[in-house]
Amino acid sequence: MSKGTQTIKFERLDKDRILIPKTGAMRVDGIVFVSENMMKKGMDDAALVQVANVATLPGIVGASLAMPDIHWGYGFPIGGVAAFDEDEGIISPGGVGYDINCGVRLLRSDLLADEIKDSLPALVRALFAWIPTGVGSHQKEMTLSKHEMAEVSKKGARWAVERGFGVEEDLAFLEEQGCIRGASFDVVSDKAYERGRKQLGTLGSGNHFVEIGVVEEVYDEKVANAFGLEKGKVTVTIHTGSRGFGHQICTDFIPIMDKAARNAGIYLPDRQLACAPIKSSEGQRYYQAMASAANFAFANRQIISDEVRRAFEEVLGRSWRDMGLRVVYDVAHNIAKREVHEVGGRKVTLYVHRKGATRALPPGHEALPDAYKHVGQPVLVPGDMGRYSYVLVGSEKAMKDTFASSCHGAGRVLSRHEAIRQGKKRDIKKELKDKGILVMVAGSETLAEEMPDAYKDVEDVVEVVHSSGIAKKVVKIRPMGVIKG
Amino acid sequence: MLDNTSRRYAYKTIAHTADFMIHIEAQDIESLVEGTVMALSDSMFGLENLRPQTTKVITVSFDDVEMLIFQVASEVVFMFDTETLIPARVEAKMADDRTMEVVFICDRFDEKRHKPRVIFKAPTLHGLKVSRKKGKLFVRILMDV
Repeated sequence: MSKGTQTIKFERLDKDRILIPKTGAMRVDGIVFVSENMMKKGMDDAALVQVANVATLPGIVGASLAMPDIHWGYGFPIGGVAAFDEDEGIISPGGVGYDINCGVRLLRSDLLADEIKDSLPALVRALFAWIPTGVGSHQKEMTLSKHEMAEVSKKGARWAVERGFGVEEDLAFLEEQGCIRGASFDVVSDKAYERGRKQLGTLGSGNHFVEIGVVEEVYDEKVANAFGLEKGKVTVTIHTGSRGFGHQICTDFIPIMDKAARNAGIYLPDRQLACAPIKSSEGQRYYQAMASAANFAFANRQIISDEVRRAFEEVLGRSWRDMGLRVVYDVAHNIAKREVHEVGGRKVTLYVHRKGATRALPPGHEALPDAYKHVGQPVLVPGDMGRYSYVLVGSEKAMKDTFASSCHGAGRVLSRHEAIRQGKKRDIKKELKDKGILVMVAGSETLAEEMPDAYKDVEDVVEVVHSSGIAKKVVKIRPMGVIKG
Repeated sequence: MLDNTSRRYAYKTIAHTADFMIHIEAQDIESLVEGTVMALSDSMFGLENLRPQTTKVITVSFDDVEMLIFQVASEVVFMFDTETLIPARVEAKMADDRTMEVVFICDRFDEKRHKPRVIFKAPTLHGLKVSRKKGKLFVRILMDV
């Protein structure tokens, strides 16, 4: 079965954007950030149809948006951004995704890449030993009671810090300080608890990873300095989310929202757009459960950061403080958040859905940590394990044009099966080693599944974002060592 | 592509970029559910590698057959994620018009015997549609992987 045979009409707005004009049941236009060059490489029509589908939902404000890493998702496209009016709009699990608060955390260090070169194999092994990784990975020594899960859901990353995983100063550098308000464990199912209770502090499988990298290129010296990033210095990137806990919450709420949409008389061009009015009981319950999963994910990345620091201390024999291994930032890229934005000259409260999209606040925004107020929010954009990742910075343009949102990554081009088929003929581990990248994986087929060729080149995505001005390039990071599930 | 046939159901699977589509055809609702469960197990580990050992029974209430399939598929995901159980056999029986009892006879994941081919994280509603043609039931379900 194909994912849709519909074609969609669009026109080019400027070199970085196309417009899908409002037609039929669409309440607003669709706007996709994409260059002509990317269109030539292939644009997924089914994803554009999804941009138009999202535009039909009640209470949508401005436009149905998509970032240049757009690709087909369930209901909403991945790379999609949609903001809904608090009074008249909807909230949808399909607009957040299954892995609630899947996100990225970046640690910086004072270590030079040359300094750790000889220790790299030991560092990769230590990360693999410290961080439970792979299918069904779980914490042997940390099974949470219901009371503890309720506390994690309420406090997020702070819960982890209170138990000695990291320090208070880490929290200032996390989106929402690592805790989304409004979470309630009371609306979370026993099944979600069962799936999450052994998974805090674990990486999982699929495209999740921990990566040791080096800053290879600096585009903006002033902003890079503010973020503590210097050419030649070592970084660590953590990519994971809310594990089975978030997946189960999404699974639990889809049938509830399906029924709620029908009861509210909401037209759904795709059943996976299942949603409920924000102010309905179902809408509020979903938000409370989603915030619980988001906070679980913030705590998860906090614990993994601590595991990274311990691995570095073990191998290099220095304290993490001495190595300057501190948090640059932590972003959620699968989330719906209650935010205030200016629309038509007045401030309105919106529920901004970012599904495969990253918040990108401009300089001066009140939600930024003091250290970044003069430059803006770090936007963390990982690529594949064989090429590079980027750190960008948020801008005023994003505030005006995209509800302060930017891209989140590269996006797959090969199915997992096709990647495995192609990878079987190659020695991916050796290919990466020849490029100076050491890899350890839990699953026998993960390496082929996740090989660089399975992904788009993240540089194409970043160039559009940079050129359009919704976020600006700060540094490029080259991978040195990676662990995957 | 997998292809399994029995007297009561048949299925095939198609891998996409980040998900997995399963088509099932069956004679009745019970065998449609059984075919869905077996297609999921087969896709994950291969039925030939599974030994029926542990029994789990669930009762599912549903408004439409699509939601029945969705809930049973989510149960398969849940059992593996929490107890590493993989259905090796399944028996489904309608209790009444809106309730079904499903008996899973499962194997437990064993690293030595089981090599994961694909791990499902959740079922989706995308394109989930049960249709009837020439006396047979058809369903397709897209799984998040």
